[in-house]
Amino acid sequence: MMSSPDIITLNNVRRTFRSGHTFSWRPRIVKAVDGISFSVRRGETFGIVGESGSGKSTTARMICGLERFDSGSIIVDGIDVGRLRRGDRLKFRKILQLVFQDPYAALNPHWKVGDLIAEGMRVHGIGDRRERRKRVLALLDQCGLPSDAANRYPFEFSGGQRQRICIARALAVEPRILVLDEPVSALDVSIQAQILILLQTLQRELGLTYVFISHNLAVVEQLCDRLIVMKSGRIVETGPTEEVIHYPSHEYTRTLVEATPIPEPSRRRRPAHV
Amino acid sequence: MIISSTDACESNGLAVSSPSQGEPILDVRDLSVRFGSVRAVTNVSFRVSRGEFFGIVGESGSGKSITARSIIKLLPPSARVEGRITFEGTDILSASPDELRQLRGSGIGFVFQDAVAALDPVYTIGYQLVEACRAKMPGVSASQAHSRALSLLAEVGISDPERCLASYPHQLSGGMKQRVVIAAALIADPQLIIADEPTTALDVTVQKQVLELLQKIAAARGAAVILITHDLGVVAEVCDRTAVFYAGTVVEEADTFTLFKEARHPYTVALIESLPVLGVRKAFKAIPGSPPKVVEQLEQCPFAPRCDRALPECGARLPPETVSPDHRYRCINPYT
Repeated sequence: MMSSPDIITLNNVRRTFRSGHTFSWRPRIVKAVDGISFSVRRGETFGIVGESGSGKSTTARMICGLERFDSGSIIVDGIDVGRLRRGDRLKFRKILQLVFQDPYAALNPHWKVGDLIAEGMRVHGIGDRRERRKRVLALLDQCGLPSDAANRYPFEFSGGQRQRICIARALAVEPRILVLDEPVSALDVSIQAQILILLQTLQRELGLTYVFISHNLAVVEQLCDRLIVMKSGRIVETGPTEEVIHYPSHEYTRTLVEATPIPEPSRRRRPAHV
Repeated sequence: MIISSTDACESNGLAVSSPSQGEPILDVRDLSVRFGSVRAVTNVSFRVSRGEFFGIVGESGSGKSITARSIIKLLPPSARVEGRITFEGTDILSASPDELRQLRGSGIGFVFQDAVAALDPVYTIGYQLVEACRAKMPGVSASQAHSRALSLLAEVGISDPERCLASYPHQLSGGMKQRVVIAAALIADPQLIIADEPTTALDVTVQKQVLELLQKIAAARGAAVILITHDLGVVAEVCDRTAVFYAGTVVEEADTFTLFKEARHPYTVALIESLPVLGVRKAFKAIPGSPPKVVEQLEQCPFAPRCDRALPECGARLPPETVSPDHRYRCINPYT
């Protein structure tokens, strides 16, 4: 273990986009992320909650080094993400990996699953061909996939299985951090819990740190230790999950909590017919 | 009293009726839809009463959208449809194109899932609403149609209807577009509004507004609503009665309160248990396996392979429906 309890630290990070017509004289400036600061502790699940346009995905992409930022600093496991050089970028990918929302778009359809999972190891020069093969099989097993999956193509798998493949691929280089961008919202309801359980198990076994981005407050509540609520590029509320959800201090958090449907008609907050 | 019918085809849930409202406005009986050898919908029966908020809940591929589209006969030509759908005395499946045109819009309004795709990007909202208005109500002048469009936009809660009429779809937010699409469905005062996943693409705060809007409209107009969704939470919040779809068939139907309190079918129970509930921290409970991608025949309970209560008989035939006054389900080993 490293000395610092924080594995990710954002300090006053800003990111603006120019919007409006490409050739307009006065482009509109959109503050996608407007000066946010927070830290993620080693081994915890940290939630980023917000609606579309809140800046949560931009934040995630900046943490991953996929999006540059205008000012502020992002330190991930001692690495200054704003100053990544070409060579560092590869090293950085061994620390932090991503799982995307849409497992249908995230897997190259022309590649066999085994090659998809082994690619990261190959790029990083981990093991030889045989060792990589062995590790692919171990990863498949760990993620609840059959071992013959390695020789099949993504189209042969359902959405839930594909997300398992994406998770296995992310884990192949043994990262310390997984950034999960809405990992279950494209999946069928009956499959979501499977993937969330898998994520919990993997975290326990591997001591991973999760950054979990979601619009679904109910899912975040079950999974995350702490969270931030974002709106229009700013953090409106932050704290331990239970506290934020049960005693929201910001008006917007309260609105979100109240708008989340509760699957118990007896807790309906208004009569069926108004 | 609970009657177990002997043949699945004979049972059609006739005993289930809404407790509050009376006569059915829509009667779907033994509806089956096939595409080649694939069964999209198998033996689906349900009734919707006047003024009722009826929920259809199911995962992708469960046949809920095909069922909805069958009701207005909006299926691709390759679909082979059997059964009977009666809307206010009209047999929809044998209706002539003229009768159907009359029915769509005037009798049944349809709100599509994707509001972006439902609106034409090159015309203003005003043009599209006025056009729809004049198509549905012959003899209406342009200015009458214009004021009708204005009042509808006001009804769906758009604060500046004039400006909205002059806007193009891309100038509106997702929630506004969905409101416009709902307004379009209301043009000819339909008695039944079918909303196919109207809030799936929306943020939760906007979703809440749209659901409340549908409730308000239904109550104000006395219209029935069929709400199709994959979200049990949405159903729990707004629906009077709910049918649970799985693999193209209705596995359970009940009053929504009953459904959540006394679900009988293992799929319904598992689905409810797998949902995270805001404010209640509990361990996730997953349903093993995944729903069938393609159903070719339904000679067994489609949920049996994933069911922890499955008996050997479950694989032998499609369980018949057990029907009680306010509840029906297809399971031979239900929760009690």
